[in-house]
Amino acid sequence: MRVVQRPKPKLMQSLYFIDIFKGLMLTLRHVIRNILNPDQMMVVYFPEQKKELPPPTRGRHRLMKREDGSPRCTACMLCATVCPAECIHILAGESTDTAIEKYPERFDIDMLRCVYCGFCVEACPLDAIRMDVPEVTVANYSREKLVYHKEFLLNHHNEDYVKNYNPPRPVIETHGPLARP
Amino acid sequence: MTIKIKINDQPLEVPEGINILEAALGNQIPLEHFCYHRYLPVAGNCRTCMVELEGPRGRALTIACNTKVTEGMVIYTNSPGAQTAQKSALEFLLLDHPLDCPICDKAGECKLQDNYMKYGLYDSERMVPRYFKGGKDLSIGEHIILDQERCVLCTRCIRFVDEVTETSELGIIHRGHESTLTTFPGKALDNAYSGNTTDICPVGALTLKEFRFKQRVWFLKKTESICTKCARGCNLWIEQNRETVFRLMPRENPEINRTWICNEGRMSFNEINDHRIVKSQLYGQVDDLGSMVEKIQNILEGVEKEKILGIASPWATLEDNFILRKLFKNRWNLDHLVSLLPPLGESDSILRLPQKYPNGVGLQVLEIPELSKSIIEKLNDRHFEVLLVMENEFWQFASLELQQSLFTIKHIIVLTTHQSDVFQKIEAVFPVRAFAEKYGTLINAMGYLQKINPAINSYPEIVESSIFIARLAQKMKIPGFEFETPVEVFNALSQEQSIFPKIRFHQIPSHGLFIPLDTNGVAPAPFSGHQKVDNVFVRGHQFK
Ligand code: SF4
Ligand code: SF4
Ligand code: SF4
Ligand code: SF4
Ligand code: FES
Repeated sequence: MRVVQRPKPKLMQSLYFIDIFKGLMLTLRHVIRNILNPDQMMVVYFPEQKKELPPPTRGRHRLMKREDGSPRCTACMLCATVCPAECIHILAGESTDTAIEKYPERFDIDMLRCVYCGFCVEACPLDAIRMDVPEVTVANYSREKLVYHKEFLLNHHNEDYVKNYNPPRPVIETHGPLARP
Repeated sequence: MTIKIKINDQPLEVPEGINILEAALGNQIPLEHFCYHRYLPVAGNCRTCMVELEGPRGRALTIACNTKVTEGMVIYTNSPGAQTAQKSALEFLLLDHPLDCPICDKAGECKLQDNYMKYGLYDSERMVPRYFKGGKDLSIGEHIILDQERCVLCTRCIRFVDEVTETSELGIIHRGHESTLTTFPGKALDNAYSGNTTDICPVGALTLKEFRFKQRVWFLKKTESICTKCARGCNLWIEQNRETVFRLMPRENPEINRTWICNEGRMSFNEINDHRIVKSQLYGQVDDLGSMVEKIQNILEGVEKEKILGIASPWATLEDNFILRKLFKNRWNLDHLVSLLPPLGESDSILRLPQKYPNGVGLQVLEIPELSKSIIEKLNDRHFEVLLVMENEFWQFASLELQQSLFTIKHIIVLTTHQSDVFQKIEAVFPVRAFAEKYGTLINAMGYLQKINPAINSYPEIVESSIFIARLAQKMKIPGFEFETPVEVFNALSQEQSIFPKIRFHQIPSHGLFIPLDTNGVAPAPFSGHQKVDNVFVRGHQFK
């Protein structure tokens, strides 16, 4: 272990006055620039104006679909297990399709509890849940409405937007010659 | 007789006659295994339990489950040779195994998963395309779903139906990589113990319909308990999540139930969740608890000493019956406390006993007799004014005649757990805790004192029968009822009843305490088949 001495502030620094003044000068410079040049202002007038969020933005959840439109999720509950906020609630059901067997009868995410950690996305073995809906306004007038249900998570997002920013990823093979044991 | 052996250079003393696998597991030396089951004959077909033995011609590989230990044996479970053999055998088992873990109910307690994480962790080296056996989601019995693709052909289930139930519904057909587990033509896996095959199946090939997709196993919290469906008192795990019981699993007890339970007991978990009563009822209508307690207190205080009849219960715990008996002894006539027993039910030579209640011996210990002729005569004479019934749903099994004469009694007070139509005829019904919600002790037909523990606390506002009666007695100013929990009741009980060793509740071991009783007890489990329990020697190691 090596002990590092804290450098002693110089006299000018310990007076603080100069540094405060330096900071204020920066603010002043921005004020003057914005007044002279209003078009270049960095402020977005949200919610009238909306900024396009960059592709890697972690937004709110959505559930992915198979080609036939059914949810890709198989209700394995790995996301519910890993979720530190315990906000994913899944009720598994038995599918009539024996190739699928298990599907989520209910899939609820309590957005009020979600901490946007993204662990659920990491945990999912089927890439069935993603957090890429570029929505920053997860807000509502009642708590109940902030529990997002399966139907909402499957459908309620702008497909085009999501597609543009998320080119389709290869589907993980669980059956067929590509599947690895 | 113990002998000296060496495993991985560690000198050990183990009992004679056990196999290497038990010797290792019993001494906390991990060793991979699939097909070996402590209570089934050894098949030795998975070859994952490979160990190296030191012999006159150097080290040689052998399977640990089918090799008995001998004096001076030198065994290696972690030598490179043994480890390679274990790993390769595992790789074979996993070769064409489907990647079903996300939808497989066994995931989380699957031996294939566990063993791969513990002993495997290899990269797949398969050169040829995968072979898909198919055969998923097949219903092969009332309770069982078979997934042939997931089966690792360990034959545990086959040995179980051959040797334990002796019904032989299952077999393996075809050869090589096409070998498939199936039922014999025209047969269904429908014996009274079929649920056990889903427990012993090391993978998710056999799963229980009643538990299918209901819950992932890692969410379940386990509590030690006892089955209350017959006088055997099989040891159970109650597995619950968020106050809902999802399944009952057998708990190993070599003397009582080994690792088996019957289907009836296994399916009884629904009763814990369904049709419960939580509010006190006055002639079938929900009413305020406080005013009702006051009312019956007045009735009980007003009644003449001889005019109250009590019905104890073989379903209630020792504590409940003890408190009821104490109340009758201190306040009323003890001769008027009787029990009503249901008719004998189905039984066999494996586990099920005809007495379909868990605590009949407990009643004998407390000297509470069955309903006698003299009491019936008194009933017919309309002698009684008050009937106090504790956890005895006699309306389900008693003869109509008897029910009629019981229901003519003026004031009827019932403590019970489940809803019924007859409540309209009953003056006061009070809810009490069911067996999964309370501490208590039961004595099984073999004379084992066993305890039940609370697994869930869904209705914190209601109390156990014993505590309900104790509080009532306190209200009636009868001394000696200062109890707050059934544990205190048991501690008092074990002091008062000379038949018990003077122990406290928490000293009762989890596998029960044998009490030499002079009752017509049942001889220790006459399990059928050729199995012997000579392999059990370390109780601490629960076999699964
Ligand atoms: S982002 Fe994190 S907190 Fe939110 S649902 Fe996923 S795992 Fe839970
Ligand atoms: S991890 Fe994926 S597949 Fe599993 S339940 Fe969650 S979203 Fe569904
Ligand atoms: S049996 Fe085990 S390894 Fe196979 S799918 Fe089920 S959990 Fe996974
Ligand atoms: S079904 Fe299960 S217990 Fe039966 S042979 Fe297959 S893996 Fe073994
Ligand atoms: S456990 Fe020994 S061969 Fe299977």
